[in-house]
Amino acid sequence: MALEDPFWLDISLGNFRANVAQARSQLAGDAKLMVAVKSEAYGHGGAAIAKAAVAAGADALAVLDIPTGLGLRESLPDAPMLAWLISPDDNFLAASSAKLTLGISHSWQLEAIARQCQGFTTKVHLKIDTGLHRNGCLPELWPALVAKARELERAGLIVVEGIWSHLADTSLEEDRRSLERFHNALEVAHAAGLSPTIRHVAASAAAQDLPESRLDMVRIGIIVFGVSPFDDRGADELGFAPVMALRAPITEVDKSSATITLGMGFAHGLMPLPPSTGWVSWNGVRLALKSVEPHHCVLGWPETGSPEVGDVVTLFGDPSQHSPRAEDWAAWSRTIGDEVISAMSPSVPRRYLSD
Amino acid sequence: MTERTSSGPPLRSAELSRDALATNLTALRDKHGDEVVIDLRSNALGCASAEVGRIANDVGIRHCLLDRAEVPPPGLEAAPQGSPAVSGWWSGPGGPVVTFSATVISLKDVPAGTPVSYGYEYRTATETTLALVSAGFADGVPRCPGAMIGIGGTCFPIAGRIAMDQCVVVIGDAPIDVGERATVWGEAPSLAQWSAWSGRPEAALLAHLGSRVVKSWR
Repeated sequence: MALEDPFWLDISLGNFRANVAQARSQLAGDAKLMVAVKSEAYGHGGAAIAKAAVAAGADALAVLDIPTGLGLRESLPDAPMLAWLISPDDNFLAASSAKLTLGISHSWQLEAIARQCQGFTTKVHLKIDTGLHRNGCLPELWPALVAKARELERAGLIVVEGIWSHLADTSLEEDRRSLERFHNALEVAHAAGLSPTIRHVAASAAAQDLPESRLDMVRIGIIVFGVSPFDDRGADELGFAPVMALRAPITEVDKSSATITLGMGFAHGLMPLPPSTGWVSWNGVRLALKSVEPHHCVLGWPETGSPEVGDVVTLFGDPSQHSPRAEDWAAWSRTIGDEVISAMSPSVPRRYLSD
Repeated sequence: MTERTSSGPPLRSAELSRDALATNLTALRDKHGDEVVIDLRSNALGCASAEVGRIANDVGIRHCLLDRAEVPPPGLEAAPQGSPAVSGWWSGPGGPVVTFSATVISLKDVPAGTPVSYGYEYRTATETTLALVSAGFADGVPRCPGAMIGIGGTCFPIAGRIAMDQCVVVIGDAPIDVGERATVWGEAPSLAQWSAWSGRPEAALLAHLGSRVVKSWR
């Protein structure tokens, strides 16, 4: 343990592998499993997690954008990678020659492929908007998109391997309605002559609660990092353990004022909190969080015991070790666990633990 | 780390203005005097302490506060740990130092009553156009309601929940094209506005700019 580090993240590859296995058995069923490694794998470290995901049996990776996919391609020459946040400034040729699969929502994206990627057969997944109104093609524009795709497929420029959508997680009823719109869009695509083999709509929440949405592939992000996508159920109740634990040694102890200081604050990625909100774990004993400052935190004194400088405190991590969870920080700062873990600064060292 | 692969702007970027910084640092020196200590801890909130330190030195600031055991930038002297130090160099008479922007990657014409983003917490009031912007909370856009984004000099409301990698802006019939730049914060809206919308300190917003945000000094 390099005690000179004022803070670090323990990344449990063992928990991550177990979570991938759990996602496979509980969420994917017979479907393929795509693991989301976007944004440096939710702050855990993109390359390390992407390699661990593939080694643990993920069939494909969701990389979000072309630059991220190109960055990961070096360490994973063969893994299927889907990039779908696409800008007109992107380099489609680089994406195609690196064998990235492109998620296509608009005709202009197909035109860019046709223009830039001559001599390649680019794999695409066409995305239909089933109600989220973010990415995806509006139903009224869908017939034109699939017709254009079929034309490029005949010309050998693309192959439409998949058709997909993204659910809004509003309610099971709304998600079923979206699924119905998805099946309608599939029929339109089939009628246009397309024969996609990978149909996918479900992310963590729908894969858990709406098994008929699993189709040919599920895309699992947040829960594979041991953070719950639900307000009403913890990840532990679903059989997933946190992968990330944030630790910092105590830098100052002042018995007269009964305060303890950690050399980590919101400048390192902690969520700012209102005064006297939350707690951290000192060997399983709770220390109240009195304030989160830019470069340090002030903690209260425990009811029992006497913390000393150098003692390592867990700010969030595994609840089975009596630590707060990322979801607890999310509740204290009125956000979701996804933001708590993604906010961890690149300046916080990541220590990869094999178990 | 995100690799640059295209000639156009990256999906998300933060441009930092040396001129604005020099003017703001000069104002801090004038206000607090020559003995002012500039706070460069945590790599100047992730914005490059070397660059902020260099320009601080240029405008006659001599002292800085650093993380323990850090070497001060040339010309500056490290103040003892715990010294009072001033921050706030990111705004002032020189204008905003940091402009955080992303790209409009899609436009959708939709009817009134269209739900947007997770949980359908937002529905369009009228027939309108939705612009999808390529930045979300993983990039440092605080996940808070009621915020706005600037496109072509006008601020437009964000519709529904801000997602990890993207957010949707309601632009009405404004003449905006796919590929245009969208200002998360900078001139308008300002970092101070985002601080008010999110209830988070400006320093936290700067420090939380994500690893995918390509930073460059101008």
